[in-house]
This record gives sequence, C-alpha cells and structure tokens, in this order.
Amino acid sequence: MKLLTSIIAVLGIIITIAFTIFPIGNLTIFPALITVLCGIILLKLYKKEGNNTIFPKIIIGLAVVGALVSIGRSALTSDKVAPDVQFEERQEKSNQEAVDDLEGLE
Amino acid sequence: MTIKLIQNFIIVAFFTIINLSFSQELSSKSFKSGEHLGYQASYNMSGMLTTFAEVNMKVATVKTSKSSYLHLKCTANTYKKWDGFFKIRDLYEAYVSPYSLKPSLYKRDNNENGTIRKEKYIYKGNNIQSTYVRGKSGVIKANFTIPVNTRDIVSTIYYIRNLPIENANTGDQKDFNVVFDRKTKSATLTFMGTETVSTILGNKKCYKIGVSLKKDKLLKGKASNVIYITADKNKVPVLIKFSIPVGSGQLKLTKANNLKY
Repeated sequence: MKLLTSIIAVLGIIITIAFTIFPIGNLTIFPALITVLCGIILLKLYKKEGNNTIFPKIIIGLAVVGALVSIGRSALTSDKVAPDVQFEERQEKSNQEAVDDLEGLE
Repeated sequence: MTIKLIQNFIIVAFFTIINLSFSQELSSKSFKSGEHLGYQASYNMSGMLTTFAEVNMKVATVKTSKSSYLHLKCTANTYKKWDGFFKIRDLYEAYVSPYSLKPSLYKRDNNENGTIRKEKYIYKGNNIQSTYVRGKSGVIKANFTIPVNTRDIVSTIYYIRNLPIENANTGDQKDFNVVFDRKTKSATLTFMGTETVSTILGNKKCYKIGVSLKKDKLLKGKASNVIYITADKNKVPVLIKFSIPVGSGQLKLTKANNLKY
C-alpha cells in the first residue's frame, strides 16, 4: 500500500512538473490533485509508523505550487500571437510572386 | 434573313447575360472581398480544451494586367506561450476566379518548428504544374493530372460555403475531390441537420456538416469531423471539430469582419 501510493505520488509529481512547464493551462490540476491525495495518505501512514514526514510534505508542497503556478499563468496570460516580421515578409513576397505567376497564366 | 440574324443574336445575347449573371451570383453568394474570419484552435487533452493557435482566413481582390482574382488566404500561428515549444507559421493561399471560384493558383508555405514545406500548384485545365520544397531536399517539379472539379484545400472551404445547403435533407451526401500533398483525395460531405451554436455572432442556427476523407488515415469517420456553418446568407463556418489519430480538437470563430450580409 505504502509502496504503491509512493509510486503514484512520484509519477503524479513528475507529470505535474511537466504540465507546469508546458503551457497547457488548468490541466495540471488533475495530476496535482492525485499527487496531493497520495501525499495525504502517505503523510498519515508515515505518522502512524512514526517515520520522518518530510517526503509526503515535499510531494504535497510541490503539487500545490505546480497547480497554483499553472492556474495563475493561465489566468494572467492571454492568448496572443507574437508579432512576426519574417512571417509578414513571407506573405508579402508570396503575394508578389503570385501576381507574376498569374500574369504568366494569362 | 437579317431579321433571323438579329433574332439569333438577341437569343445568344440573352443566354450569355443569363449565364454571366448566374456565375457572378455564384461567386458572391456568401462572402465578399475584405471578409476576415478569425479562429481559436484548441486541442483536447483529457477532456480539457487547450488553446494553442490562431487561424485567420481572409478574402481579398488581386488584379493583374488582364483580369482579377479572389485571393483566399489562410494563416495559422501558434500563440506566444507555445512558440518556445513548437512554433507554427503556416500560410495557405488560393487564387480563384471571382465568378466561378475555380482555382488558378494554390500556394502553401509552412514553417513548423523550423521544418519548411513549400508547395505551389498552377492549374492548367485538368493538369497541375507543381513545385515542391521540403527542408533542404531542394525543389521538386512535377506535373500531374487531377479529376474534373478538383480543388485545393483552401478553395474547397469557400466552395462548401457556396453550396446550396439550405436545399439539403438530413443524410444527403456530396462527394468531391481535394488535391493535397500532390495527391488527389476523395471526400464526402454529409448533411447532418441543424443545431444551435453559441458564437461571437450570438446564438446561431447552424448547418451541421460531416466531412470524411475516403481511404485516409488522418481524417476518418463522418461524425468525428464536423463543420458548423451558420444557416443564413453568410454561411460562416463558426465551429470546426476535427478528430485525428492522436486526439481531437476544434476551431472556434473569434472574429468576423466584413461579412457580406
């Protein structure tokens, strides 16, 4: 039970950190929630056995921070396209070339 | 004799005018030059939609020394937040006749995370003169034949908007050909009835059209790829749901400027 919960918690925290790095919004909540649940179970088990509770506390802390960072970022950052001069130039060039091609067709 | 000639001339002139006005009406049915539609692209991850790109579709008039064309331009840009991971700057263009919407030129210029792919089709009747560039492999030129009424992907979107969907019954199907990646693909449109969709234009009654490509692994199944087109004169595609082997996503209308009606 303890081993299985630890494995799920570690996997959960890896996914939470990965999702926090990638800009995929509120999806981080799911692995973070699972990690927190596993962390709480581990915390109770560690306390019951009289062990040091630093591991479940770190797990819970990281998951909460990851979820908060993701939620905060998705709330604060808007969906915007960065200005791209090169892309604008590509479009302009394409327009000019197209007119030449169309002239050649007539 | 002279009267007979005049009569014939009048008849020919009458039918020419009728034909001309019909074909001109065809082009101007649902959109006009200057129209700009903007979409937000989202990808479905574990049931949650994650926004990743902006798609813009613009219509403009391009004039050459002898004639004019409609320039149908479609661009796809990933949002700033995704640029560091996977940057997309795609450009798809079609130059079509403003009367028949028949394409004369198709261009594709993709830059997906540094991978360049360029394609150009010059339509010459049922033949296409193509130029293809992928990465550093150089320019590949090829000529190939296409079936009658085959269009590229961009002009197909606008062609669908001009179809008389209002006369269709649920379950009605229409087959058509699309040329993409120098291959002709057969596709089927299925009219799936109407549905009210919440859009930036308000709650709109929409035609629900299923799209499926025959013998294609990318876009399979008529129900999983659906286009919602407003059931009005503008026939604006307000929502496009797509399903691919690695998941599903959607394009939702966020901007609609210079609509015809």
